[in-house]
Amino acid sequence: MRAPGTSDGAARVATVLPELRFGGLAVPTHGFFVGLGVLLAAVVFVLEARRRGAPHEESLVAVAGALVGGAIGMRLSGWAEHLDPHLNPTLLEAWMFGSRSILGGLTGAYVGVLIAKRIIGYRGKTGDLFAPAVALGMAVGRIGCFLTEAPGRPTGLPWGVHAPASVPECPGCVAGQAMHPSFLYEVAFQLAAFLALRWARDRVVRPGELFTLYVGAYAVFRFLVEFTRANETVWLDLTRPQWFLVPGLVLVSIRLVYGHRRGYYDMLVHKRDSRINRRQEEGASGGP
Amino acid sequence: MVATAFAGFAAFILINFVGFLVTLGVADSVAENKEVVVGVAAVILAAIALGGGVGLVLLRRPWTKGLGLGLMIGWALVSILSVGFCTGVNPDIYTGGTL
Repeated sequence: MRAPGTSDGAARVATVLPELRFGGLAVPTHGFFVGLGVLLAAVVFVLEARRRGAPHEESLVAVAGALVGGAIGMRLSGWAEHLDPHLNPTLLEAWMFGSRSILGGLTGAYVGVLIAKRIIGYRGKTGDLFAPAVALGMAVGRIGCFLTEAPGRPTGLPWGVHAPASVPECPGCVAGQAMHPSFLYEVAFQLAAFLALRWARDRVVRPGELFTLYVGAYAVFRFLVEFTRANETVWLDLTRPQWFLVPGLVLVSIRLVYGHRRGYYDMLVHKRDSRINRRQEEGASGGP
Repeated sequence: MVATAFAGFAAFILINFVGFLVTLGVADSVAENKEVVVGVAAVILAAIALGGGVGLVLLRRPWTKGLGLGLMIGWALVSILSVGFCTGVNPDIYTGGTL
């Protein structure tokens, strides 16, 4: 479809579907894809748990912790929008009126799993079960974002899209100008991450390291893709998610260097050594 | 335990449905501050699902663990899938003229 009123003939008009219709039933598009993503993530989690022989009870506790923590975290993420505490809402206000942030949801899910495992006294790692499930679930969920939210910042690239007037206003958007389909970038990243995790799961055998790699990769990707997102910049031309990610990137970098030095990822770069395998399999304790 | 977790999930759906009808009835019967009624109902629902769920898990019997986990999973899934509408945690309920 040719974009109206621009010289960029290759730009397309984004399809916006606030609702999907199944016969006479109207379903909110965003909720539908989030639900589908959660369902697919659950299937991948169960398959991965079976493949790894993970204990049923502990896995179920971890899932409960992740879901409850995720639901609370995405709601409370608006609690820390400003560095000045006076400008932030109270916990109750954030709960009632907060945004639905993926980063808040993921952080909440991580904390939820830690708390749930602490309650039942389980010390095993569960993150490797979650990593491929989260990747596929988010790939599907982000389709709902693409179909209902402001697509991204203005771009002259040939795959830029125009948003219809019904799409929520995005900071920095110029009427009639093509914008980055930033959610599709994330769909592509998550699908690639899902495939990469499936490839790497037999090569990274130390418990929890697959999850660490996924978190690190997503943190880097999300920081970079924010430069194409329609989110408001708050300081030094960086958005709130980017400022949230800055300390996270430092921590995950330190953790990845630590893992690399101890040979946790050697099998990924073809250093096939049975001694490394044995060292990795000696196990670990702590975190999801 | 997985079977009792499903039972807990079903129990939450039932509690949520009954709570939804009761909340609508009460909100209809008051002239003002309908959002307070929904807010109180949301807090009670979360307390039943999360407080009750954790309590049941801490009893450490196989059937109570499953039931408690099911209650919590039910609250979280319904909150995520209904974007908070069914569990009373969507801002539009209070600001968007839903009431």
